[in-house]
Amino acid sequence: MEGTTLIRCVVEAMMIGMLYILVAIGLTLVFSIMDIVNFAHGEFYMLGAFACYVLFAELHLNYFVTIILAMIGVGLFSLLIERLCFRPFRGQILQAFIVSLGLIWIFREGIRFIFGNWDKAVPPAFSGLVEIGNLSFAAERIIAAVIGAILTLLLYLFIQRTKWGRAMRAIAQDRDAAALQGINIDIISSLAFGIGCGLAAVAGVLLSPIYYASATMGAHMILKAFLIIILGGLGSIPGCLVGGLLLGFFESFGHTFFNIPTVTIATFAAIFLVLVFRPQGLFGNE
Amino acid sequence: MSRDSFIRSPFIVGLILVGPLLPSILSIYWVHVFAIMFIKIILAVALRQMLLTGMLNLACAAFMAIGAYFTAALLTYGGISFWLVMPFAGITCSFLGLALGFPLFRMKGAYFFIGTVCFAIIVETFFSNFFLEVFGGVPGFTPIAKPQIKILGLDIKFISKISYYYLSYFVMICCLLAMYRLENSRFGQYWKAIRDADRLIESVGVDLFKHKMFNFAICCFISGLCGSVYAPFIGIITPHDFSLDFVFLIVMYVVVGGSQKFWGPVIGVTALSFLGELFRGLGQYELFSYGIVLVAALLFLPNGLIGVLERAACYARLATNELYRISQSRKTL
Repeated sequence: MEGTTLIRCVVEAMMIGMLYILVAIGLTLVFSIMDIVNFAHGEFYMLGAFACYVLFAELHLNYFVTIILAMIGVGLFSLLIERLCFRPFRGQILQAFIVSLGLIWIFREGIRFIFGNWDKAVPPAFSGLVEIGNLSFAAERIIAAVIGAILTLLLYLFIQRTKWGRAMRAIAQDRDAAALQGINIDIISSLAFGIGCGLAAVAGVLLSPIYYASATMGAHMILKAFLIIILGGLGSIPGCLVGGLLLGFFESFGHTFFNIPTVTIATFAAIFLVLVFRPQGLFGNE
Repeated sequence: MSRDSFIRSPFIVGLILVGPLLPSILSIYWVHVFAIMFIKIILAVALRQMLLTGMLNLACAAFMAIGAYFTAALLTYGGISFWLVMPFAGITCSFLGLALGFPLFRMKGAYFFIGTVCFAIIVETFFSNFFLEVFGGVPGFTPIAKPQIKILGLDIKFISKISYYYLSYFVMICCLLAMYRLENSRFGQYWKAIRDADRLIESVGVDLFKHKMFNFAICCFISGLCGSVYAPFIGIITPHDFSLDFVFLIVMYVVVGGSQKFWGPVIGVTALSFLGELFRGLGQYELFSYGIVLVAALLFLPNGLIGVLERAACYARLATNELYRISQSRKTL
């Protein structure tokens, strides 16, 4: 009995952790390249969930087409936001942070304006169970985790292997030196912002059939994403992976064995402790 | 008269003189609006004081919540005099702030903002889910005992809106005076220096940590005081009243008013409270318009409303000087 509960918790932790990573990785990418902390990042995740509601639940498109369309659509939209609201404040953490507070209101209330106050249910994308030994898991959760893992891997390869990825790493190290080498900072910054927001939108598409699409879901997600990147260290992708899985395990086991408010307080208190002993995060390097 | 004091002096005199007279001409609705506005002004100026050191303290509403619940619990269950509870609420908050400051001030820049957000979430979750029979949980803490004052044989109970108007007005004037003096003292100089060049000022022997802590403790004290006035005035406090949205609102007031100048947040709160009364009809889309106001203010008004006013005052003065000179030259001709 205990063994099966344990395995269930582990699978749930991997699933939810993978999706947290998908949101947090964009946030950490934007931070390291543009030097801004985008508190409105969770709203792009929320936009992804509503894109899923419109495209998949209302227009009955194929689920994978929905994922790709939502990623591209939200990514392009985020480029517009970056150009209008964030580019003037690149490198000014405080101003950019306050702009993102305003954007949270605009997105959240705008979505409520369009879709009304009620949470939107999205039908399950995949029915059926995956049987492993004598345990069975919901297929959609496994598929969500696998898609999350594949996208994370692709992003890692993009950053490590391609010319544009190398440009991103150069900007993250030293923006002025990168500009002197002939790297177009504006385009690379926009690209990083678009990729980050697109990935957040994919997380929204993957999670909305499991839960639902609601206007306030971004606020919950952004706090978790921040916890992850604080745990891992702002701007560190391996730290983000470890932080995401840690938070997934923490929540999955906590929600199984304790009640939710206790876990919330314990999580935030744990982050405080981490920051007391390692102010730069577990994998930060400053 | 410098450009700064040109706009400031009539403004301050007006604020102090007109304040006590307003309730005689206003309806009870507007008295309520003004009392809330005074509390928001205190909070906004305290938030700006933290901004002087370059730190955005998003936990100030959390400290206000602690002050409010502290006051409500002691007034209602303890039956202790409000005039004792109010300063104690502030002192409790500042001690809590000092304890929190040890981990918080190890963080820099963005980490600090997020650290304060973490604390705000902890406080909100705590009051929503724990000690339900004491704090009332999500539905809120009500009823709250009304404060009383016994002076010169008179026994005044704070029930009417007008009494709270004067209470919050009095607290606001005291807090503003204290913060204004502090900002223009040696400490204010240190705080501004910390924002501009923390390494440099550390190298000349200023204890950064001590001054940041001092600033934070004062901000917490004043936030606690705000909560203490707010709780018996409103009569019901819920954890949601002090949610992140409320802090974002205060941040918006500071930014729109202008965070560079002491009177910026005051102007911001005043202007946006009147605007908010206009937005009332929009109902729940009020926040949407606030979002647009905030983003637009950051993009187009880097010095805030007070910057616009100062520039207008400056142009007006230049124009009058010019007219005077022209009239003089006509005479000599």
